[in-house]
Amino acid sequence: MAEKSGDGEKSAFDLMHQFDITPLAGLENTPLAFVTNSAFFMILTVAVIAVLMVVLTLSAKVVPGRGQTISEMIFDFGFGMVDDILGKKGRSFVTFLLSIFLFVFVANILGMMPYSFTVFSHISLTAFMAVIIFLMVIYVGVSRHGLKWFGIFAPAGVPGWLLPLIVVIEIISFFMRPLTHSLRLFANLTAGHIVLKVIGTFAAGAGATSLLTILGGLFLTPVLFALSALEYLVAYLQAYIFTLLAAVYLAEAIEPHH
Amino acid sequence: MTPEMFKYIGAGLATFGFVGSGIGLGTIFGNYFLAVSRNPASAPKFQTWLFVGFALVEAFGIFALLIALMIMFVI
Repeated sequence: MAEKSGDGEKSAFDLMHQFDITPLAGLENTPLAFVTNSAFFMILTVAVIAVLMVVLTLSAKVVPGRGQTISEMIFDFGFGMVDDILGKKGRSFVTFLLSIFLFVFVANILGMMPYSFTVFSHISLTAFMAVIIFLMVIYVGVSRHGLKWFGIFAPAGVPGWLLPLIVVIEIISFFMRPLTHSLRLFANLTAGHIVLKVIGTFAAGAGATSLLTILGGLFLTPVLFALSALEYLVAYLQAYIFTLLAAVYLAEAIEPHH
Repeated sequence: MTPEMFKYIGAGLATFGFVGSGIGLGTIFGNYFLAVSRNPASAPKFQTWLFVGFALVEAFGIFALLIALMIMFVI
């Protein structure tokens, strides 16, 4: 998607340029050219999480200090969410879901920095994660309940004449899950960054061509601040929703109610 | 009018799917705040399912966006 906007069409602002995947500067013609800006920011995300957690829990005590309290808050968040949705049975999925949440959240926050790259603005990565979760749900469901698990496609209490229709709808909506799951994260981040780019170009780069553009730029600068705040909210909210939906899908695999 | 122009018109029309998604989100959040303002103690219980409903309703807006993107970049 990103490469099509670059060639041919000539527009005043290149909105899609920020999503281009290119090798890091200085690595173009070396064997390390596979380290693109996307790969670099994914590695950076993992490094930030790992270093943060190691530093915070370096001197773990029974009575937690300042750093340890923060790390315990992160874990409480994960355990709280899993207990809400999966119940006590789902405790074994806390690490998986919390890893997903931290990876998406930290990647989104890093992507908000100027000149950085938003990793999850590419559907290849979000789709990969969504498909992994989808396959995991099927595996967990079948391994815990056998082939009976596929009874989730036929909900209880449906009149017999309606059952064929419901089963078809349930199967379609089941296989639509990875699609919506991945598109939500991708679309929210891409759209948010495009809006930021549009407003930012107007606010900062309008230039002193006329009084109107100067006034417009002055007016739009507070809007840019507000939109940045909104984008930080979206960065958290989408990470939360991505994890929440993974948990909800897993809940159906652990305890199918049909 | 070239076929290229119809593509842009079609992509713009496809975004009308967001109307339904917007109405749905308004209903969900409006009802959530109604419920919580009547019974503030119930807020944490609803919060998780508020976001699940939010995600499910938003999915239909995303389908519209998918169609708009397909018209623009794939076809």
